[in-house]
Amino acid sequence: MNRCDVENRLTPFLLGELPEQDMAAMQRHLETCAACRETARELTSVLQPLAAGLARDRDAHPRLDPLRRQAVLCVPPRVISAPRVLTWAARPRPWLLAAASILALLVLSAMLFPATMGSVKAGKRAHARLGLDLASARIETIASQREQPFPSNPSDRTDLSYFTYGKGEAGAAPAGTPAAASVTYGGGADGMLVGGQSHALDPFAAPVPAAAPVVVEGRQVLSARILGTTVNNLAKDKLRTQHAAEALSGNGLKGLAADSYKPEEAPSDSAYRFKRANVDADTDHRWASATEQSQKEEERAAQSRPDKAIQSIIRKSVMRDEKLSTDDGRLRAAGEMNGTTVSAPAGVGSAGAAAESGKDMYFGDRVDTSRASKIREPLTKPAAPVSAAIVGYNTILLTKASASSLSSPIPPAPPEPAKSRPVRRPTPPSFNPFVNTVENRFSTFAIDVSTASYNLMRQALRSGALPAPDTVRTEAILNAFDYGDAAPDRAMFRVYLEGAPSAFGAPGLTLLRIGVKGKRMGREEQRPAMLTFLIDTSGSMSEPDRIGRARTALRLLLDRLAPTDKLQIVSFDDKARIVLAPTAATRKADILKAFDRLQCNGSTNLEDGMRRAYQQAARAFVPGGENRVILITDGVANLGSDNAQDILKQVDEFRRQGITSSVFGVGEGAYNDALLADLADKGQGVYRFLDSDAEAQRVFVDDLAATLNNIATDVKIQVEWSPAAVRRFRQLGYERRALAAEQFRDDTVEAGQVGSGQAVTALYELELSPAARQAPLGTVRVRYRRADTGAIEEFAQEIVPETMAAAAGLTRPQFRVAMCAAAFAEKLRGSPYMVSDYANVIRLLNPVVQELSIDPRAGELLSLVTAAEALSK
Amino acid sequence: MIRATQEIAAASFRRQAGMEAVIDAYQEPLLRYATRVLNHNVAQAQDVVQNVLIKLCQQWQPGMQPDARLKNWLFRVTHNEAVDQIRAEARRRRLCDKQGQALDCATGGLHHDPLPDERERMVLECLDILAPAQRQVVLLRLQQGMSYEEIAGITGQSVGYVGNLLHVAVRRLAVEVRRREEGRAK
Repeated sequence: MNRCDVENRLTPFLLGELPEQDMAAMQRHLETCAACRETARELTSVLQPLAAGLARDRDAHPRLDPLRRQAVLCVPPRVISAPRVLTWAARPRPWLLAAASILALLVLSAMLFPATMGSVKAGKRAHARLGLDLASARIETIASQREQPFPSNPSDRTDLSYFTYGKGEAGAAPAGTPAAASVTYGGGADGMLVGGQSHALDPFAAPVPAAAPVVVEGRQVLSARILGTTVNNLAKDKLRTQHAAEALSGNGLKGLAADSYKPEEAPSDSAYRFKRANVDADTDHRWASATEQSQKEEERAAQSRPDKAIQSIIRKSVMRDEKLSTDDGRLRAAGEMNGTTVSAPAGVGSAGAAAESGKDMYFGDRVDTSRASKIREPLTKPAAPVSAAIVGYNTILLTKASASSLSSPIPPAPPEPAKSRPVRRPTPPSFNPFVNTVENRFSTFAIDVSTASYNLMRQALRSGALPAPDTVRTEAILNAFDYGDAAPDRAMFRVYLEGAPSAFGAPGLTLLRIGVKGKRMGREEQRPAMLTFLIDTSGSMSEPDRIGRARTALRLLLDRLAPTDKLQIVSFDDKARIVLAPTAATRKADILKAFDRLQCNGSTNLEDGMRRAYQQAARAFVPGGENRVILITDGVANLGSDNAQDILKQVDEFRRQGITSSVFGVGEGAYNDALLADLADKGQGVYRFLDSDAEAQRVFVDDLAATLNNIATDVKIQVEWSPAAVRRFRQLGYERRALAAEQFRDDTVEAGQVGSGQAVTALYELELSPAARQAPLGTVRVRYRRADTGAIEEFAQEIVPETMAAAAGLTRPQFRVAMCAAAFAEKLRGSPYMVSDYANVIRLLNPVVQELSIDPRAGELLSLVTAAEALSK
Repeated sequence: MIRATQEIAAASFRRQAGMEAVIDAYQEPLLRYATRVLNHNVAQAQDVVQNVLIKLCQQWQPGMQPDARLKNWLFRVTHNEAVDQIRAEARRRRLCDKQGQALDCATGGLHHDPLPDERERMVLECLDILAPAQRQVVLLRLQQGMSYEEIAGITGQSVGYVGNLLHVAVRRLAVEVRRREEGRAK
C-alpha cells in the first residue's frame, strides 16, 4: 500500500466504506504512518461536524407547499400515441373524395356550359364506371399491402378485423386483412387461444379466459401460445390446431410471421392496455354470448367422447418415466373426474417437478407462430420431446417453447435435470427450555394472534385423527379463547396478569398468564380499506366447501364494509387473472356477480397469483388506508416458483410499502400450512382457517374490525424476571416468535400486529423462590408502533405477588381454560415438560365448562380433549 | 362506451393515487437535498422539487410502481434542476451587479437555522465552495445516508470515481475551513 493510495482511501476508511480487510490494513497503516494520521485527523475534523450537521437535516420534515402539490397533481400525463380504432364511418375514403370532386366538377361544368347538358347521362355512366374502378383499385391496394410489412406506427392502422375459428363463425372477416393480425378463438377453459399476449394478464381483460375473445391485433399474433385445453377436448383441439396452423400459414397471415415481427417493437404495456380497453369495449358484446355458448356445447360434446389419442400419449409418457408415484389420491381423483384413468408422467424441469407432486398436467413448452404449422407435432407424434406432463383435474395446458415468445406468466422451464420438489417434511416441534434467571432474566417475543393452528387441530380431531405435532402451535391454541379481558378505554393496550400453581407441569411450578388486550376502535375510527381478494381457483377449489365458503365469506364481509371501502378480486390457477377492478363495497351485486363467474380448474400458481395481486393492490393503493391482500386458498402451490422464499421475499417487500396480507385456508387437503403461516407472518396479517360457515362468520363478521384494522404493528413483549423471586422460567409456545433481549428496542426488527380489540396471551411456567411472596416477580414491557401515527410507544407493568393465587381452583374459570388449553396443546405436541395426561385436563376442564356455560368455546375444548384422549389410546 | 369512460376515469384515479404516494414518500428527502444543494434557499428548493414532480407527473402512467430506479431518477433530476437554478441565479446576479442594483437575490440569506456548534456552522457554510458535483456526492452520502454504490447509481459514475470525488470534496472543505479559521484568528 503506497502512500498516495492510502491518502485516497482515507475518506472511505473514515466513512466505513472499505471492505473489512482493507479497513484492518488501513488501521495498521495509520498506526505506523504519522503523516497519514495527521491527514486523517484533519479530515475527521471536517467530516464529523459535516456529518452531524447534515444528519440534523433529517430531523426537519419539509413538506411540499400544498398549493404546489395540488399543481403537481393537476398535471396531465403526456399523451401516449394510442392506436385509434376507426369505425367504418370514420375511415378515410380517398376515392369518395375524388368521386365527389369529380361530380362537383361535372355539375359545375354543366351549369357553366348548358350546351353540354345533353351529355349528362353519358357523364353519369362514366362516373359510375369511375367509382367501380376506384373501388377495385382499392381492393388491389389491400391485396398488395398484404405483402408489405405491417405499419410500424400503430396509429397508421386503419382497420381492425376479427375472425373466429369455431362454431359457424369462421370467416366473419377475411383472414389476411393487413391490420388483422390476431386470431381469436373463444374456447376458454377448454379452448385454445392464439395470441401475442395473455389476455388474462391484462387488467381490462375479461375475467375468465373462457369468455375472453382473443382479438387478432397487429403484430401480436406472432408469438402464439396455446393455453388451457381440456384433456377430453384435445382431439378436437388437435384438429383446430391444425386448422389454426393452416389459417396462420396459408391465409395471408404468413407474411406477418417472424420475418416482419420484431419483439422489441411490441407496444408498451400502457399503450397496449389503452388499446385493449378500446378493443374490448368494441368486441365484448359481440363475442361474449357466442363464446359462452360454444364453450358449453363443446364441453358437453367432449364429455361424451374422451380422446383416445391423447390418453395414449400420456400413457407412453408414463412408461418413459417410472419415477413418479402414481398412487396420489388427488391424481386418481383427477382421472376419475375425467372419466378416464390417467397417470402423471414425470417430466423435465420445473413443470416435471410439479408433476411429481401429482397435481396437474402441463406440457411446458411454447409455440412460435412462425412455426405455427408445427403445432400439431407434439400431438401427432407422442414420442416427440414433450418436456413435461402433469395431470390435472380436467385441464391440460399445452404449449411449446419459443425464444421469441413474449413475456409469459409462466417462465419457460429451463431444460434442467429433473429434481424433486421440496417436499414438506414434518419437523419435530421444538420446545422452549427452562431458563435460569441468573443466566438470562429476559424473555422477549413478538406477538402472534393467528389461530389457524387451532382450527386445523380441531378439524383433524373431528375427522378422527390426531393432528401432526408440528402443526400444533401452543400460542395459536391459547389465543383461540376469550379470557374475559376488557379492552382499555384510553390506552392502546392493557396488560392482565394472573397466576396459580400449575396443575399439569412438574410439581412446584407456577403458571402465569400474561394477557395483552388491545383497544377497541369504533367503526368511524377505522381507515378506508382497499382489499384485494386473491382467490385460488385451481381445480381442487371447485368443491362447495371451498369456493362456496370463500363466497360466503365475501358476502359476509360485504355486509360489514363501509361505503368508503373498496375491493378488487384477482383469481389464480395456472396463472393469475383480474376478475374485478377496484369497486366500491356498496356495489354488492356487481362484486358477487364477478365472483360467481369464477371457474375452478387448473393448477395452483401461487407465485403468479401473489405477484399479480400485489401489483393490483399497488395500483389501487389508498394512501393512509388499510391496503390488504386477502388470500383464500386450499392448498399448496404447485406451479410457478416452488421456492417459498421467493414468495415470502416479495410479500415482505410489499409489506414495507404498506400492503399487508392475510391468509385464509379453506377445505382440507395438502395445504402447505407452514408456507401459508409464513405468508401471513411476512405480510403482517392473520392466518385463519375457515373450516365451517360459523368460522367464516366469526372471522369475517365478528372479528372484522380486528382483521381489517390494526391498532398497532411490531408489537413486542419483554418480560424481565427478578432473579430474587423467580429461579427459572419457561415460556409455553411462541418458539417461532422468540426474539433476543436486545431486539426488543430495535425498531427495525419486525413483529406481529394487533387488530382492534384483539388480545394476546402468553403463559409462563415459573419456579418461584420463597421471596416471591413479597417482592415483585418481574416487569412486563410492551413495545409497539401505533398504526395511526407510526410512533413507537412502550409501557411497562410490574408483576406484583398479589396476582398469584394460592391454588388453581381459586382462579377465574377463564384462567383454568388457558391452563387446560396450553396443557392440551403441549400434550398434542408431545412436550417433554408435560407430565400430565389428557384425563387430568378433562378433570380440570369439566367444572370450568359448567361455570362458563355461556362461552361455547370451553365446551368445544372439552370435546376436543376428550376426542384426543380417545384417539391417543 | 360507458365502460371505456369508466376505465379511463379509474385509470386516472389510480394514476393520481400513485403519484400522491410517490410525493408522500419522496418529498422530504428531495426537499432536504435540494435545500442543501441550493445553499439553504428553501423557496428555491420548493421550486426545484415542484418542477421535478411535474416532470414525473407528466410521465407517470397508472400501473407504474416506485422502485430503485425512480429514486435514482428523482435525485438525478433534482440535482440537475438545482444546478440549473444555481446557474440561472448566477446569471441573474451578474446582471444585477452590472446594473449596480443591490438586490438581495443571492442564494442563501433567506433561511438560517441556528446550529449549536460554531464549527458545524462553519463547515456547512463552506459547502457552497464545492462544485455542484462534489456537493452532490457529499449530500447524498452524509445527508441522505446512501452508500457509494447507490450514489454511483444516481450520478451515473463509477463507484471509484464517486469515492474519489468525495475525498477531494472533503479535502477541499478541510483546507477551506482551516483557511477561514486562520483568517479569523488573525
